[in-house]
Amino acid sequence: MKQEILAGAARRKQSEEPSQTTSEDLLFDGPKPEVLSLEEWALLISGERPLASFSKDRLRQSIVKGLPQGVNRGQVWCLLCDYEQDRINHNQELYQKLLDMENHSQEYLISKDIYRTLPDTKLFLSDYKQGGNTLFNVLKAYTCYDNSVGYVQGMNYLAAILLIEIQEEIKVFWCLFALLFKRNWRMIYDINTPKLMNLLSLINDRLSKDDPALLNHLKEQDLSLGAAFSPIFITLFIYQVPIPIATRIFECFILDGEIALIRVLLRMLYCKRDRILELKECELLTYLRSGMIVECVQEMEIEELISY
Amino acid sequence: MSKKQFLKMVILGDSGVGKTTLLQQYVTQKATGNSKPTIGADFQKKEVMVDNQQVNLQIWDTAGQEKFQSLGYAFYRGADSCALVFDITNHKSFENLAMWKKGFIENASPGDVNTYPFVVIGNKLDKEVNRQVTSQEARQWCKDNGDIPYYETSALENISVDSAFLEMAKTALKRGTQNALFSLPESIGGAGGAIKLNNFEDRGGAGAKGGAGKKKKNGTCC
Repeated sequence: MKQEILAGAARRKQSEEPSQTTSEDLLFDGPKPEVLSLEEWALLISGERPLASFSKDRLRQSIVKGLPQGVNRGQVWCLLCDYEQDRINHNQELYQKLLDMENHSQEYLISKDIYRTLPDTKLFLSDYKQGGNTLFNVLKAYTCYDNSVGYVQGMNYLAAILLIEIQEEIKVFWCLFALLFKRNWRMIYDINTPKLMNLLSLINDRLSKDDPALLNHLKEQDLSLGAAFSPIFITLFIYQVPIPIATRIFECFILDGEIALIRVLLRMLYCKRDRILELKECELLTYLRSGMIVECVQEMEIEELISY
Repeated sequence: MSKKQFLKMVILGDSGVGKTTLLQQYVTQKATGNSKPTIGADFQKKEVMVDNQQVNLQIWDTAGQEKFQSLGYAFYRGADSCALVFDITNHKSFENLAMWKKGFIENASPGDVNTYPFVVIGNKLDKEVNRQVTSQEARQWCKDNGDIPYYETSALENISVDSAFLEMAKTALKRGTQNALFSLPESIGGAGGAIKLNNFEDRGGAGAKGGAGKKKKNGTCC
């Protein structure tokens, strides 16, 4: 068991390519390294120490414990997205050029969603036609860049949560570039959502090893994992949980990629196992889509939810 | 003769035409008009009286985004009725009705397409000033597509929402009775729908390792 854990951790270090995730990577437990000190955070943010000089395990532990006061979350996210080299390699006017492009079909799709994305924040309500809607702008720029996937619902949540912490459009654009394009998270938004199918089969594999009874119950109820879990992955939990908690989960996603999302979901499933086994058919689907998530978020400490 | 007291309905149409708001208005008599975009699919239940018969409705609200259509297919199976919704202030959403209808027919295995209980709903009547699709144009499309009943609604102001859903229930019940005469399977979903589900499940659903496919489907969730 211990060997399996170490092997999983080694694989994670070798490659960040999300498609190489295996269900072995989803095993819980592992060593608990020291969190970064305030001085180390300062050195990291100022660029005096590169990101690569900190072990991923230490970074993970620091994020699970929560960023210390005074450390700017937006700056940390930009660093973790690690886009600087890509930014330098591209035309410096890229963002402005993308904004100036005409792409009516994408603009039309984006415009329908911006006002109903995290409406309680009231951050994305200004008229996009006047150019002042930051959510519209970053989504337009990204989808002009990645026109073959284009705008897909879910991206709006990703962009919105980045904007809340980072504010500067151009930085958010580069974070989107890093997360969606470079790390290929865009495949969850492509036709037939291939990435989603891949993640669902990972969950299936993990459950079949760790909790066959639970998986069997889901099968007996003829439950579609896609129906139950698509909002979680397509919107990275932001759709269903309060923003402060979504922010923490998202932070783990920036560090570890899709594994972070699957681990949070598995933790919820194991935690609410007894309730899930009692429920059937439609009630089960509804519970997995929302009730389970709401209950876990209310009952569990955030640290417990995201630690692995 | 079977008296089907359970009906499954699905609502299809472009993103932002008001599918979630229509359902919200119908089921809870309230509509805020700023519902979240639907991801995947969700459903609501409602009990109604149709021709002195108590009927349990299970209405599925689907994502309007084209890219997610494959996620919706799993929910099409076994649907007794289908609402095709467009926004009267958005001509493109009207043009896309054909695409939604085609996707439904290909994935729901609805039996005889010509008698299938579709309803077309032109929503956002409260924005009449911005209308881009005339009633005449919509009615003509419905006529050309097998005399589909047409309703113009305002989900926000609760105009004709009840009647549109009631029409769906009525025609679905009627068709269910007719089908029973020809001793078709108890559910319209039948084997065709089950096959579609398995295609979906094979790519990562709960049934990926077999098992679900062997179970007899009743074509419904509940």
